This record gives sequence, C-alpha cells and structure tokens, in this order.
Amino acid sequence: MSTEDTPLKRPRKKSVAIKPRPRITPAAPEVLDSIAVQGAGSVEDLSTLEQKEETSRFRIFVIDAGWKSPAAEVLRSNFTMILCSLGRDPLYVLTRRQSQEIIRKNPILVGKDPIILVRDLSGKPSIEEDEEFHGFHFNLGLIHQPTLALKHLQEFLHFLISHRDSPNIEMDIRQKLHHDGLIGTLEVIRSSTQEAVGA
Amino acid sequence: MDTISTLLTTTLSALILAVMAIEIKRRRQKLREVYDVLDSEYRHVVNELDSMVQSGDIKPYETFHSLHNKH
Repeated sequence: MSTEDTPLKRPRKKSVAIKPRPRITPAAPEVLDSIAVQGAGSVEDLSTLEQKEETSRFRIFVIDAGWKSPAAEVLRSNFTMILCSLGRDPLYVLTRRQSQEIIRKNPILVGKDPIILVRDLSGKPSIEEDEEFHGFHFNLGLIHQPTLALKHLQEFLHFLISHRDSPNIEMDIRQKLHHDGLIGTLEVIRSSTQEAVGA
Repeated sequence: MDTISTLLTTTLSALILAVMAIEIKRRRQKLREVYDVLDSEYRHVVNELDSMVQSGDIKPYETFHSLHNKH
C-alpha cells in the first residue's frame, strides 16, 4: 500500500474550550510575585500607567534624583521587592527630573534622597493655621553602607506592612523605628554590638 | 591602695557609661534622621506632591503583571 493511495489525513483540530476570563482579584499577593520588569537601571526607566486608585490608607512617593550612591543602588535593584511589599497602597514614582525639581525647591531634601515618603491619608483633619501633615519618610540617602541600607529598607517595609492598621502610627514610629524607651535602648545596644562584631 | 583602685574603677565605669550613653544618643539621632515624621518643614514638599497627583503629573505605578491580568 503506497502512500499515494492513502487519503491525506489532515491534522485534527484540537477543540479548544473557551474558558471564562478569570476574575481579577484586587491586590492579591500572588499576582505580584512575577513582575515582568526586571533589570531596570534606575527607577525612572520603569513606565507609569494609569490605575484606578483604590481606597487605601497610604500614598507612597519615591523621590530619586539619580545619585550614584550605594543606598540608591540598593533601592533601584530591589525595586521589585518594594512593589511586592506595597500591594494595596498607590505608589508614585517621580521621574528624575521631577525629583530634581522638587529637591531644588526644597533644599531640606538635599543629600537625603532617595526618599520614600508616605502620606497617611487617615490622619486628623487639618488645623486652621498650622496644617498637620500626617505621614513619615525614609531618607535612604543618609545611609552610606549598602548592607545597612538594605537592612533599613527591609525594616521600613516590614513596619509599613505590619502597622498598616495602626491607630497612631507616629507613636509606633517612635517606639519601633526610633527605638525610644528602655526596650529601644536595649535594641540600640544590641544592634551596635552586632555591627561591632560584624554580624 | 584600695582607695586608689576603687577610685580608678569608679572613674573608668563612669567613663564607659558616659561613652555608651553618648553612642546610644548618637544612634537614636541618626535613626530619627533616617526615619522621620512629616512636620511643618515638609509642608511645601507635601503640598507640591499633592498638587502633582491632582494635576496628573504623576500617576500610580502599575506593574506589567497587574496590567496583563486586566486584558
């Protein structure tokens, strides 16, 4: 039986079941596990697109003028980790030009960038004369050692996640981040000893 | 002799405690500079950032993956 006699068999088309589109769950942590943008040289290179702002407590800004400092490199190389940590809160990344402009207008920021500034939208309403701005900021530019910068960045993100529902976050900052009080003193001594030993 | 050794020990202990207190104060001050709360000094910064958000000069950052899930 030659091959010419046999009818040509056309490949059978696989039946493709039309699957319903998956529902998009808001801010599911698994969704953020695989972030396609990798290897970005700077924060400015990553594109920003419009997103419906969910009701969230914090509004987070990243100010990065573009200095080539160890702390800045830590921020840029770990940016995807920062995104993974900040699931619900809108993150605003200023371009290099915008960051330089805002630093130029506000000299208090010189030497402190990259800065992660967090606005607490659930703060008290503003007072008539002296408007209160609730929030805090992390001046990564003040840290010169890369390992210390990474450690502080991780501490800051941990604090942000674990105190998202805190009624008085500024008090928590004084206790947990500034290490006020007796327990804070012991923590300062412990971390100093660790640094001295090199752990 | 005992008096001198006691005096020396006390002085050295006081010096060590003083150095520790100064170092703890210095580190706390550093932490306050690194993690700082927003106060009146940052009023203009916050105003400018809020106006940038309202005018649309900056928009919330969205990851590629979250965009991909929407389409």
